[in-house]
Amino acid sequence: MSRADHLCQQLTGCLVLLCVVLLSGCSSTIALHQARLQYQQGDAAAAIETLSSTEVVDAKDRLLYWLEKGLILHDSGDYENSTKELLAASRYLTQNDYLSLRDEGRALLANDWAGSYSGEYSEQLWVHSYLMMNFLITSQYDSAAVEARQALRLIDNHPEVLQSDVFTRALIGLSFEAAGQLNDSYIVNRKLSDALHKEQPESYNGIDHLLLAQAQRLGFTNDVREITQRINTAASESASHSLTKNNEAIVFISSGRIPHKVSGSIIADDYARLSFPQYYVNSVSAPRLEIHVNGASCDCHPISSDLGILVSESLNKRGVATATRTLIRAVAKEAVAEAISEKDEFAGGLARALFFALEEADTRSWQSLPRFITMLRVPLPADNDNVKIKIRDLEASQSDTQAIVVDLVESGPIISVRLP
Amino acid sequence: MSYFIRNARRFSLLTSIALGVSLGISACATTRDIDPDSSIHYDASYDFSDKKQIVNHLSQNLLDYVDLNNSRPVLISYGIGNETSEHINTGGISDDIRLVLVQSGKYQLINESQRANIQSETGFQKTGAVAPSQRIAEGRQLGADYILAGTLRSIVKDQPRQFRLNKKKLVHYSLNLELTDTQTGAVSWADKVEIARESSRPIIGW
Repeated sequence: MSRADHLCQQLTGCLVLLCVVLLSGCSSTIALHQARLQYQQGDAAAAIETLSSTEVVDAKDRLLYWLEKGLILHDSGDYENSTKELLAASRYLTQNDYLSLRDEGRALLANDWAGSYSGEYSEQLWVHSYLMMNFLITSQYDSAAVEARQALRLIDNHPEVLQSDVFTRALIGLSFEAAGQLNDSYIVNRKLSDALHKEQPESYNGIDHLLLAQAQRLGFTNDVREITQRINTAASESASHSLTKNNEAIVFISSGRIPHKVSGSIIADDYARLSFPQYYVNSVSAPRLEIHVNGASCDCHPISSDLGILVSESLNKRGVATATRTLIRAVAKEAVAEAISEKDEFAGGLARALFFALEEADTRSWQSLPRFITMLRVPLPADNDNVKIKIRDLEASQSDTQAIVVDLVESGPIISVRLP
Repeated sequence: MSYFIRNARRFSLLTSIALGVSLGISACATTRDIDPDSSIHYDASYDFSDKKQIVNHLSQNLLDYVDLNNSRPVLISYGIGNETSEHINTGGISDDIRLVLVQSGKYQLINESQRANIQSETGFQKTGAVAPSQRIAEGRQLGADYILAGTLRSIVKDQPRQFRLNKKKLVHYSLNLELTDTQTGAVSWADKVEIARESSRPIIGW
């Protein structure tokens, strides 16, 4: 082999490796990172400005663009535009519900970053959760019920992970109820009641009172008897829980920040690395909420989901698929490096070093989500339209000045707040 | 350099094939007119062909109903509820049914969506800006004999998980429409349309 041939082969090898590097791309994370930082620093307007158009991120990160922007807009109170972004995310997920050979090929050649992000199962569910909240707040009850059905299908497809999201299940029941689809609402609430009995006994009583009122309206006499016995309360007392929207406010409360995915690695030998994404979920208890309605303490029954635990379980659920792909990639990379080494040992070594450096776990995730999300049904005084609700997390805020006060005359009966 | 020179023919052939394939894949964008009466479905979800089928069936039956009773009743439409798992604008269905009924001349339709505007216009004419002879005479609006309302529902079934190359989906739509007598509250007329469709899409794609 002449010196020129040797040089050409090295050049070809370098070009292939350069392609691999380019495939692993990281350009679009800059805009997302900046927007998340701005949002965390309290400048939601700047974050929305940073995410001004989908062009600021690569096509493979388009889902994250819609998710982050949709949630920031929701927290800023711009529910219409938040809905547009989240509906775009929902459409994207529906249209891309297949195994992409292009993405798999890229992931095999470089790393999982090179493929399109399709979200964890729980993140896919929360697209519908936030859409339900947006539609309920803007009084589009039929549309909230549409999202509720889509969320139910997702929960049915992945029950082992998503059944634990009691907040979203309560939201589904509420969406059906608001749309006047009482039978559907009753079925969801009935199943939720069983789940809460096991997971959140403090909320169990609240949902059963609601369930009883629904059973009475639907004329399910046997169920009325059974539920009445179960909650051990006089039926006449429970009947005072009216389903009329004027008599209660719905409050969605977000708090804390969801944990971020981190990269874990196993070094097989000097040049082989296996990387995989993982979550470190701190043990944090749900917010201890103190609610006052026009100064009077409210004995509300919060229904909370820990999004940190749920997203971690979602990631674990597809752990086998991730591990298989990582192993196949490691074998493929070693085979390529070996083949190059046979021709040129230096180029082979270079390839191994590059593959080692490129082996990075895909730590993309929906980062602006809260750690906890809670739903409260707050009974309102019947004889007073001028209602103010004060919300305080007893764990996080020491003084009363850190409480959030919402005037229902301005906000309407369904509100969403994010605690600092 | 000699390596490239020796393989120049092979390189040019490969380049030509790659170029040809690229051009083939990136074929020119096209538009074409289609017959609005034709039935075209890209997937199992609701589309304009379904809307046309629903409207034709229900409006024709409504027209046949009024023929039997030999009257020209006054109707108010309270729309069609969406109880499906898709964001379907059911206003399009009720608007089209209303259009057929109005054009037939067999029904009188009250425009409920313009009530607030009519109120506003009546109020304005009473401010003195309009000559008394030209003002709207009050108390002349029609009272509805019937309420027209309905519900669109869907049942979606996905093929169970198993080893397969295609994912099948079965969707069943049903639209119930009914006329409620405003005096008695009785349902005077009811009908429904059902559409069932199966679609399949590959599990693996590019």
